[in-house]
Amino acid sequence: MQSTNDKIRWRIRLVAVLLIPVALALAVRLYFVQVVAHDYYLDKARDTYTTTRVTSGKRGEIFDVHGNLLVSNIPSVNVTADPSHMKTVAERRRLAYLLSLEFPETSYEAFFRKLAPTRRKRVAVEGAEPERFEFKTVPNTYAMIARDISLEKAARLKSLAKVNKFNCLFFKDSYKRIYPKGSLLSNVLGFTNVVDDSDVAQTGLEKYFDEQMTAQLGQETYERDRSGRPLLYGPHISKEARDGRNIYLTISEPIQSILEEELDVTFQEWKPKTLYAALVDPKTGNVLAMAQRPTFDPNNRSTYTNEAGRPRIAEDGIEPGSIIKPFTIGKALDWGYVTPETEIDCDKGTWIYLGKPLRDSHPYDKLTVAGVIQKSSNIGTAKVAMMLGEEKVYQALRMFGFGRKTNLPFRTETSGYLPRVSKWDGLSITRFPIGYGVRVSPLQMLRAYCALANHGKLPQLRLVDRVEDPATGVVENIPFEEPVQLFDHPECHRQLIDMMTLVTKKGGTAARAALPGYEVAGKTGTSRKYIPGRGYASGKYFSSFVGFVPAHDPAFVMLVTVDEPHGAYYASTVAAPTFKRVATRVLRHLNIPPDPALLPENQHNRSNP
Amino acid sequence: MNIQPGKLKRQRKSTQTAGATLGARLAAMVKFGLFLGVIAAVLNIYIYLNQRITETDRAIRKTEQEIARTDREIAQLRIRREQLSRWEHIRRKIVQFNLGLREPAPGQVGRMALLTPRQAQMVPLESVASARRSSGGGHRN
Repeated sequence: MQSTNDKIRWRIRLVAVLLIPVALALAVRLYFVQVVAHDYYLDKARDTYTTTRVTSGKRGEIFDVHGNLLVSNIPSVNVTADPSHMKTVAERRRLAYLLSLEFPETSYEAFFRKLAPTRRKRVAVEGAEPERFEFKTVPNTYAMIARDISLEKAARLKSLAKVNKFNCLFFKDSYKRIYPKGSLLSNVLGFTNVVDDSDVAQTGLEKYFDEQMTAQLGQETYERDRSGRPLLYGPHISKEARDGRNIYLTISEPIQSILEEELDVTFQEWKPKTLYAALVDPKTGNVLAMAQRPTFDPNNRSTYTNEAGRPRIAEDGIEPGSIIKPFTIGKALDWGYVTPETEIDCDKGTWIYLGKPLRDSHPYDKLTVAGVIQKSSNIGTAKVAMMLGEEKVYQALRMFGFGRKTNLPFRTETSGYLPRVSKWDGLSITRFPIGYGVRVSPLQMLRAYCALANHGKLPQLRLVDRVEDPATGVVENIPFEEPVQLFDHPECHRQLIDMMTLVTKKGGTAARAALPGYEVAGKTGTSRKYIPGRGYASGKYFSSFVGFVPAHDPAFVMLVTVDEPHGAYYASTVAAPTFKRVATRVLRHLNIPPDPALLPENQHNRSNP
Repeated sequence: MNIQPGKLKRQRKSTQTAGATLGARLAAMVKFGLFLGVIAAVLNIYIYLNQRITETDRAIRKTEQEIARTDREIAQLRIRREQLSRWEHIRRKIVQFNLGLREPAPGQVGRMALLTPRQAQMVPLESVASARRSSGGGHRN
């Protein structure tokens, strides 16, 4: 018979036999979890308490040459809601009502619909062949309430939500592209649209420099506590977001403002279809201002139209008319075919060549070459071109950059139309030098005039001065290209300028562009509008004036082109006064004083001592 | 046999040993107490420091949020300033308040600026126009 002690011993052994395998199994399992599958479980745990946050930088900004802001990003707030947080219909109604008061552009009903607690979701039916979809009702956890609202409005809404205990509203900081100067330079700057919370460049410089201006996304990976705050210990890997690069233009905002204001006056006065103008520093090729009408405000897209949005000054090829005359005549002087005093027979206003008449606006018998420029004689210019011959005329126009893009940052810049000599017909030599049959962009014309203003040296036009990396502060200056000297004899260039100053003097075609106290060199051009497939339209004209001032040391070259003005069409009446108004103010702004000897009162005193 | 002295000697020895053991025990206890005290102090300091770190971290985050908020406000004000400095706006105000301002004639304008060489390099036009006036024309950067 077993004693009590034996029984206890036996029981202990039995328990031990039962427990030891369990303990062993636990030990094995522990070994497996802690050692063999350590990495797997660590990763799994980390997945739970590690979070990755994508950070985004700001899109690059655009400034004028002085650092005035033209395009920027304004802090804003996106408001979203999680309607599944709302418990009662009454709460939903109250929130919809409150939101409709804050955002009057959206109705109460629209908000009420947005805040529905459930929504229908299109899902694929599992295993269905071919693929089939069905709608399921799921909790509505996301509703966009308002995008890009101001900080003040967001703060007000936040406090309202707090007072009314609306826990379903969420506020996310964001940035919105803004154009602080409104329509100023809008055709050149372009704009962006918002797609999936990011800016997508649409037109203009925004699109051209999109790669440089786009911010690089950053990423931050860290272990977090229950409320999502990063833990002090544990891995914290972060890749900084980088702001996009800033673009500094050669545009000067004050000059741009003057130009735009005066263009508005001309636009009101002559009601043209289009109107554009630009100012360039001939020494550097820097574009100081560039504007067109009609225009649009990029902050208000309802004002946008395709015609207002595209930079016509770079895209439109127009038959320039008489403003192209100085180039053929200038090279004729340079190559020694004529002198300023050479007399040209202008056939009393009508010259028949190859059976086709060429007319002057006023009949002239004989004019000197200087007179041809001053009076803008078509016949005189055509006859000078005949002296040069087709090859030389082509060479002259090509030298001044016609038929070649200016390479300013416009995606769709035209190269114009200047056909090779082999494609010329017999009349081309009499038509191309007077600005018919060729197509030139206003920018090409400006570049060519820069060569005249810059002692015969053709500069490369520049619109972007420098690019800055805001993170490092490193500035990359866009280099100047050395201008190319086009004149073999500098004195010929001076003679040409003297002839062009006659244009704005008494007896010239653009006396209305004259500025008291300054010598203005310029040229008018009135050309009939060519409509492809229909020929020259009657009563439709391009009126242009290009000039530079002070003539022998110009501060700027300016072109004004008015497309289809109403009421008058001569460039001397329509474009020249605009030039005068703009030039007067820009010279004041640049602090360039008049030459006392050229002031009318002094000239009067000199003539009557 | 002289047993007594030996007994006395043993008794004396054991009395001495008992006294020594008690002292040693007390000393050991004191040492242990001290050791525990040090550990407790270290633990307290550790907890205190951890608490301070957490508080500081929280304060840092709060300050960071404050800085971010202020930065956003500054960015907004900067844009507002640019909007207000727009010529169209200024012109409207001139008309609204009937200020009768007009542009100055050349010669009435004086400019003074303290620029770093880099800033000076970046201001091309107006400064050059005044240089043109003083030197009689010519060079432009």
